[in-house]
Amino acid sequence: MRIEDKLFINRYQADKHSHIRIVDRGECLKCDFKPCTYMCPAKVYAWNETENRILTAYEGCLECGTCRYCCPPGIIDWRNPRGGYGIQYKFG
Amino acid sequence: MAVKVLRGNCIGCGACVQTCPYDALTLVDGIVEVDPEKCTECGACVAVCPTQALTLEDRKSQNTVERGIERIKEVKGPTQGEAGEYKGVWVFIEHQEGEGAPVSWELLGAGRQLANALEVELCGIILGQGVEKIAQEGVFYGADKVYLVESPVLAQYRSEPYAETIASLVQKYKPEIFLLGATTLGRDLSGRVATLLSTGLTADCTQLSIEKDSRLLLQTRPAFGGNIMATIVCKNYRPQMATVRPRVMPMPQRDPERKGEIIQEKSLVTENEVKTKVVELIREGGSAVYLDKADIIVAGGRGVGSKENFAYLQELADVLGGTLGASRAAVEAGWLPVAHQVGQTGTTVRPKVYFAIGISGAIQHLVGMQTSDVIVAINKDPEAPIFKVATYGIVGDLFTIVPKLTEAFRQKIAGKVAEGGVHLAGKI
Repeated sequence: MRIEDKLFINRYQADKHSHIRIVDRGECLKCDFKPCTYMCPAKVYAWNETENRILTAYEGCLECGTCRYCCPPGIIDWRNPRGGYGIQYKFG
Repeated sequence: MAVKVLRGNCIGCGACVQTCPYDALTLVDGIVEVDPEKCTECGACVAVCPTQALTLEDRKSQNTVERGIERIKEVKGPTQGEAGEYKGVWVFIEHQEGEGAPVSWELLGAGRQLANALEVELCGIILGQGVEKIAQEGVFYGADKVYLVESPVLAQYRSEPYAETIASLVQKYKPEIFLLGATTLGRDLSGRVATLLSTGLTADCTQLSIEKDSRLLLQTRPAFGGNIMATIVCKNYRPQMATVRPRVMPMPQRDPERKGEIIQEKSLVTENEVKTKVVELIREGGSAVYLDKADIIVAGGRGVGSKENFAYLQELADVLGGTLGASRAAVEAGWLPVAHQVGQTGTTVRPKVYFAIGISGAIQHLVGMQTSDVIVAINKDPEAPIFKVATYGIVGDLFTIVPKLTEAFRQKIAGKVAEGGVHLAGKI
């Protein structure tokens, strides 16, 4: 059972542009635990070993906002997706 | 009788458990189980299941299908009166730059079967200027007759004169079935012709057959993104019109010995009556990405590792004449532009061959490509879900496999070209 399978049950209207921006990727290199990669309930954040950067699968974002508070250097610029985009909870 | 679980499909998401109004479903070891005492076969869980792991024990649904077939059989078709005069199968022959569209030949092959089942003749219809050679090709591909309309007004495709000319010929000769290819042109034209004739049209069919007793054309097409196959009949109006998806019907054998009649017809439309003017034809350069039209797609995912490594895939694509695709992960990492993305949030594709290289196969990606004719998966992880949908799977390192594949294809194609020239995309 993978998280993607569960996310597929959700309804999204994915925007073409990410609503999540990593402001300073240099801070990620210094960050020891990278809490974003395991605090996010939708596993939006993943650390890429070869590229040495955080990947953000913004399409699956549940818009809970946890990442903004869990990021120690506070470098996640998170905004709500544009009106009409993002997750669309049905019978939420 | 209760709802049935296909254990292999169940991913244990629990969506059905939450949905069931009667608490009949529970998750046991990550797979759903049904309490037949509580299940009322309401079907709420079937509708919500993302992987089609739940089916209603066929009794009810089977009955609906059988009842449908019975009802079609009862309809005798309009053999009397005006509609009964309609006889024959027509295929619209589409052409561009002096060549017939492959879909038209495919349709002549499919039309042959229909015409044989109905014991009527198969005709082609072609509009244009200087297209007699293509009309002749129509005979080689199986038409008994080809109606040829040549006029300077019809030299370029325009909706109005084409639709009006075809409608007038249909009224004159009264075919009972009229088929067009579901290309951009065909789908534009078919709607106009159908409304001019006030008859029924089914768009984008993938299966055509004749119901023997009623002589009705059974037009089957996927609906709701391919989740449902709908079979549609047009009972009382003629002709029964359908556009057919390109590449679903087999290409018939071309027989240059075949004889057939070419009938010259005139178009009554004059240039002054046509509002549309063709100003210029613009050819798109080869660099534009048309994933949805590509016959061969070489797609890479996170496993490719870096932007530079996409060169391996590019080479394979170049050799095969294919287009590069990418999973969300690869696009998101900035390795390819978003125009290449395949999947739920990208483009939905249906090529003849799809290479999934270093793509794990998340369901969000699978929904965008799982209807491809042949899927070749190359992945290090034998447990990757992509192998569930793959026609051929190779477990291993893509950096050793892809160059070897490229080389093998290159030699094979070089051999074929030496034998007398092969257009690869048409051959696979």
